[in-house]
Amino acid sequence: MNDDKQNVNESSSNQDQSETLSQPSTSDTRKYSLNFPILLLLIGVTTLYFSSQLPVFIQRGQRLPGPQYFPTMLGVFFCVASVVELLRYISCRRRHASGCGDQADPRSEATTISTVSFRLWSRIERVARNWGNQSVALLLGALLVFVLILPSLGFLLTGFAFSLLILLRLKARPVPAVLLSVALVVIIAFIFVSAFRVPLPRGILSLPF
Amino acid sequence: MVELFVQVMHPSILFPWFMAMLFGIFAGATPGLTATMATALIVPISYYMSPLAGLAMIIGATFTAIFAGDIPATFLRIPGTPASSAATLDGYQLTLQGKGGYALTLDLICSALGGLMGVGILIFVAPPLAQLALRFSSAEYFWLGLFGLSMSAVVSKGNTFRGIIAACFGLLVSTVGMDVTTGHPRFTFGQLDLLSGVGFIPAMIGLFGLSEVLKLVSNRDALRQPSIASAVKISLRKALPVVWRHKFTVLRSGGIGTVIGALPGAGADIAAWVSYGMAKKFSRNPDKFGTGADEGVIAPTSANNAGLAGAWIPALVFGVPGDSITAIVVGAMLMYGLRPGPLIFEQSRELVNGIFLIAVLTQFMLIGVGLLGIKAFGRILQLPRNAVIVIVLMFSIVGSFALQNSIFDIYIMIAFGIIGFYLEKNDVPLPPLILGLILGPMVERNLRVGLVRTQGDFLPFLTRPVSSVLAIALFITLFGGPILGLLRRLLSKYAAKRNEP
Repeated sequence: MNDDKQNVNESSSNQDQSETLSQPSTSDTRKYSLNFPILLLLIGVTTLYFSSQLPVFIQRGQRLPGPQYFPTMLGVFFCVASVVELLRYISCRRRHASGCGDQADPRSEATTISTVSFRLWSRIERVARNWGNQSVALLLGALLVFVLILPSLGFLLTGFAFSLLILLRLKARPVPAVLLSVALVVIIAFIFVSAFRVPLPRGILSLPF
Repeated sequence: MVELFVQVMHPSILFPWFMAMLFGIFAGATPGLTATMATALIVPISYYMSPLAGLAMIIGATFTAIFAGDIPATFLRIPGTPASSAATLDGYQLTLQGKGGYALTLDLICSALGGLMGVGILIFVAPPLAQLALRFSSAEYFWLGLFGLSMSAVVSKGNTFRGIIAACFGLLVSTVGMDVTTGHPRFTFGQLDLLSGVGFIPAMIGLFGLSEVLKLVSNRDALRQPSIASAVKISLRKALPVVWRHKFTVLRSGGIGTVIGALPGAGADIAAWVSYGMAKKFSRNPDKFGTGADEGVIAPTSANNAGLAGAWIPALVFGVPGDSITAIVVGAMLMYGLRPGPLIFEQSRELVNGIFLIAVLTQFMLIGVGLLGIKAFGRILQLPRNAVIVIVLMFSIVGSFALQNSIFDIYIMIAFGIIGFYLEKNDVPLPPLILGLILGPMVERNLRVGLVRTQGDFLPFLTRPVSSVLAIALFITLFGGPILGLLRRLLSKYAAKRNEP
C-alpha cells in the first residue's frame, strides 16, 4: 500500500518535471500528433463507405440530392481534413527535432537506446502509471459497469456503490463518503421518482414512496 | 401585461426559477462547473415543467452563473466560468488591496445593468428582425446556419481549422437517424434507439458534464482546495456612485457585449475581453488598468451578462444559437415542442413576451441572489471537490436517462463524454460541435430542399440578395484573417525590397 503511494507520487513528480522541461519547445508542438489525422481519415472513409450504401434520390428521371448527399460531402471533408492535419504534423516534425505531440518526451529523447519499441513501451508505462489516467480509466469502467447492472440491481444500490467508489478514489474520508452517497441517491430518487415520475430502475431495493 | 406578470409570478414558475438561480450561484462560483454545464443539467429537470418554467430556470441559472463566475475570479484569481477570466485582472487586484467585497458589489450591480441592457436590446431588435426573417427562403437559412458554424469555429479557443473539424463532426452526428426528407434510416446499424437520431440532450450532458469531470479527475491539482477568502464586506453605498460615474463605460460595454453575443458562435467570454480592451482604450487613465481600476471591473462584467442576452437574438429569431448556452436552449425548446424562428413571434407571442419579462425580472432578482452568493461563497468553496464531482456525475447519469427513460441514452452520454475529453486534449474546441449537432438538420434540410426546388442548380443560392450577403460574410469569416495576413506579409516584403537599394 505504502509502496504503491510512493510510486504514484514519484510518477506525478516526474511528470511535473517533464512538463516544465518541455514547456518552451512543445507548447505548440504538443497539439500535433499522428493519431489525430489517422482518426480523421478513419471517420472520413467510414462515412464515405456507409454513405455509398444509402439509396440515391431520383425524381422525374433526374438525380437530386438524396440521403447520401450531405454525409458524402462531410466524408470528403474529413478525408481532406486528415491530409491537412497530416501536413501540419509533418511540418511540425520538421521544425522541431524533438518530436511533436505524443512523442514529445524529452526523457526518451535523452536516452541513447531510442528504439521504437522502447519508446512505445516507456510511453505506455508512463501513461498507465499516471494517477490521473488511472482515475479516468477507473471512472469510465465504473460508469460502464453501473449502466450494465443498473436494470437488474436498481438505481439505489448501483448509485450508492458507484458514488462511494468514486468518492473513495478521490480521497474522501470513508464516513462522509458513505453519508454523502446515501443522501445523494435518496435525494435524486426522491426528485426524479416522486416529483417527476421518472421510472428509475427499481431492481431489488426501492424507496417506500 | 399585468396578466403576464401574475402568470410569471405563479409559484409553479417562481419557485423553480429562484432555485435555478441559487443553483447558478453554485455552478458559477465553483471552478470547473460552467454556466453551460448548469444549463445542460437543468434541461432534463425542466422537461417535466411548463415551457415557460423551464426557460425561466435556464435564464435564471445562466445569468446568475455568469455573474457568480466573477466571485472566485475576484477573490482567488480562479475564474469560475470561462466568461469571467477578465475579472481576474482588476477585480483580483482590488482584493489584494483589501477591497474584494467592494469590487464584487460593483461587479454585481454592473452585471445586472449589463444584462438589463442586453435584454432591452433583445426586446426591441428581435421582433423587427423576425419580420425580416419571415421572407427568408431555404437558401438564406442554409447560409445562416453555415455562417453560425464558421463563426463559432473562428472565435473558439484553439485553432480555427480544428473548430471547423468540430463543427463538421457535429453535422455528421446530426445525420444519424431518419433522413429529414425521405425518411430513410442512416447510420443506425439496425439500432432502433438511433432511428430518432442521437439524443441531443444526453450528447450535450456528456460533452459538457462528463468530459469536464474527466478533465477534473485526470488532474490531481484540480482536486486540491483553494484557500478561502476572509470575511467579506458588502458596500452598496460605496459602489452605486462609482457605477454612476462610469455610466458610459457600462453603456458601451453593454452595447458591445450584446452585439458580440448576438454574433453566432461568439459568446460572453469574448464579449468580456473585447469590452475590457475598449474600456482601456477609451479610459482617461489607461495605466491604472490591471492595478485595480474600477472600469476594469465594470467593463467585462457588464459585457458578459449583456452577451448572454445578445445570444438569444439569433436563437429566437433564426433558430441559430449565438453560443453553446443558447444552443442548448434551442435544443430544449425543440424538446418542449416549440420551434424557434420568426414564426414563434406570431404563433407564441405570449410565450416570447413571457421570456422577455422573465429575462428582465431576472436582472433585478440577480442583485438579491448575488449578494447572498457573495456572502455564501466561503461555504460553497468548503464543499469538497470530490463531492462536487460525484454530484455532477450522478445528475449527468440520471438526467440523460430521465428524458426518454432510456438506458441507451446513458451510453450516448458516456460516449460523448469520452469524445469531448479526447477532442479537448487534441485542442479541438467543443462549442462548434454542439452548434453543428443542433444546426445539422437545418443546414442539410435547407440545402437539399433548395436544391430540389432549383432542380440541382446551386446558382440561386448565390444570387438572392440576402443569401449573397451571407455567403460573402461566410467567406470573409473563414478566409478574411489568413488573406489579410498574407497581404500584409507580401506588402512588408515589397517594402523591404524597395528600401534595399
